[in-house]
Amino acid sequence: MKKSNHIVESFARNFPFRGFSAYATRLDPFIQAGYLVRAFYAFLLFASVGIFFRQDPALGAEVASGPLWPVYWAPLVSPATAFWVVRVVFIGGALSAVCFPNLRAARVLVAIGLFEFVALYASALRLDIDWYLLPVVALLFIFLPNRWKSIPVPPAAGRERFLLIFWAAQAVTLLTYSMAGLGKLLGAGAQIWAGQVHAFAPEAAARYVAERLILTNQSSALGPWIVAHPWIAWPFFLGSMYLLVFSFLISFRPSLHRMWGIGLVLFHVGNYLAINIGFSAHILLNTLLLVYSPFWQPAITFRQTLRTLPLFGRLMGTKDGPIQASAR
Amino acid sequence: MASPTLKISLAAFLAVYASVGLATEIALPGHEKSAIPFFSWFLFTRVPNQMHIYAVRVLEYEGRTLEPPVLLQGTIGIMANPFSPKTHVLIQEWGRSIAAGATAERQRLRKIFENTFLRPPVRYELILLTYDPLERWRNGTIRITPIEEFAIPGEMR
Repeated sequence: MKKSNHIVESFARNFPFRGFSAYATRLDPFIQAGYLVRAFYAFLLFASVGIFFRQDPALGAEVASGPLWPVYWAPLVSPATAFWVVRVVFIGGALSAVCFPNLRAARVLVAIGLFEFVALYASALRLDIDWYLLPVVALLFIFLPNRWKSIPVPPAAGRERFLLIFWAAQAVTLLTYSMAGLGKLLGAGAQIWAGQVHAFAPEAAARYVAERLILTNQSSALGPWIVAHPWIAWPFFLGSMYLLVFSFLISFRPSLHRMWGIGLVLFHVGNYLAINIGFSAHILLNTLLLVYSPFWQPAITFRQTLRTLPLFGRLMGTKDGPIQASAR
Repeated sequence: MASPTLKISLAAFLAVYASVGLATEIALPGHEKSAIPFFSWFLFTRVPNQMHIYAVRVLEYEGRTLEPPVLLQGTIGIMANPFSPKTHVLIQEWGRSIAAGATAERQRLRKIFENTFLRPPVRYELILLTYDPLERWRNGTIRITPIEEFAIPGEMR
């Protein structure tokens, strides 16, 4: 019993990283996180009226050929009805969340509207899989304190709850990348076993790019060059594997939030230039949650940064791990 | 300090998200994206080696024989939205159902494909493309295996 209490206390004290509670003793991390949440809802308002704003006559049939479970009702009504119901709920929810981000009811409404919107257009494959993460973040933000205010600021306990939910949004975003990295590692293992060209081979990037451009009958800014120069693209490809695999670890290392977020954005920009896949929803989340992370620590030395990078600390002969979070 | 309950709940949420997402790879093979918002994020997990892709090519449209037959992406005006990724996914499922001998499923998918993406009158065939991506990129090497031919009669416009 004593040991289990000790474990729970240790977890409560050190989760998600040592010194997390110190961020709640200051005002600026909370205020910054509040603005980032508002920016998230501002984007959703933009999306609700700015993306696929015209009713596409082909959409109804494509959704009906395989509706995702949240829009199983869509083929039961006319395509126009399904379109406008989803659109109006999304717009209404986004507008209320922009005006009243501190009200839980508004955050619930926008989460529902966003979820239906993503399900509708993902059913027709008009939205890529990166949009699956936005409803998860919207769901987490529902659990921000209800009626939180900036003026007057809530007490430290309320600020810490706010920051914990924000951190969870960072963590689930980074988790998706590590899951992707795991898939690539497993795939590489299977292909090595089968004697095939695998993800660690020099021509891997060239093969991915060539196949994608053939399949989509498109060209891209960097694609033909990558296919022609696989050895130059190889280290970048291996670097992207490292970025993916260790992403979830970074949620526990605030000193790396900004750098890792920029790395992930560049990863997506590179993918866009190579194979025309933008993953713009993830670029938005990486920017809001990581590049602008309220937990990012001030500039540390390059050597300290290397020490906190997964694996690199060990290569330097020191134990890699997080730098203790401290009030700035 | 925030309550341990909230921290434990968030940790549990992350564990559930990862577990359910990864489970879609095993529980929903071929339909991993249907468990929205959960997903394994297993994307581009295998380097393309020898590819086997089902495709459709149009042989005849409105009484005009197309020589050579036109692959899916080149059928603007014949097919509704030929660039739709939904079309590609549907054709792969259809081809796999034929290979598996699933008669009911192949008929269902054929009906969806024709009703959703084709404009009659049209004669087309389902084919299997076999190629190495780099060889096809560099010198166009590809092997085409016809699988089955279909026709949708209709009034000419």
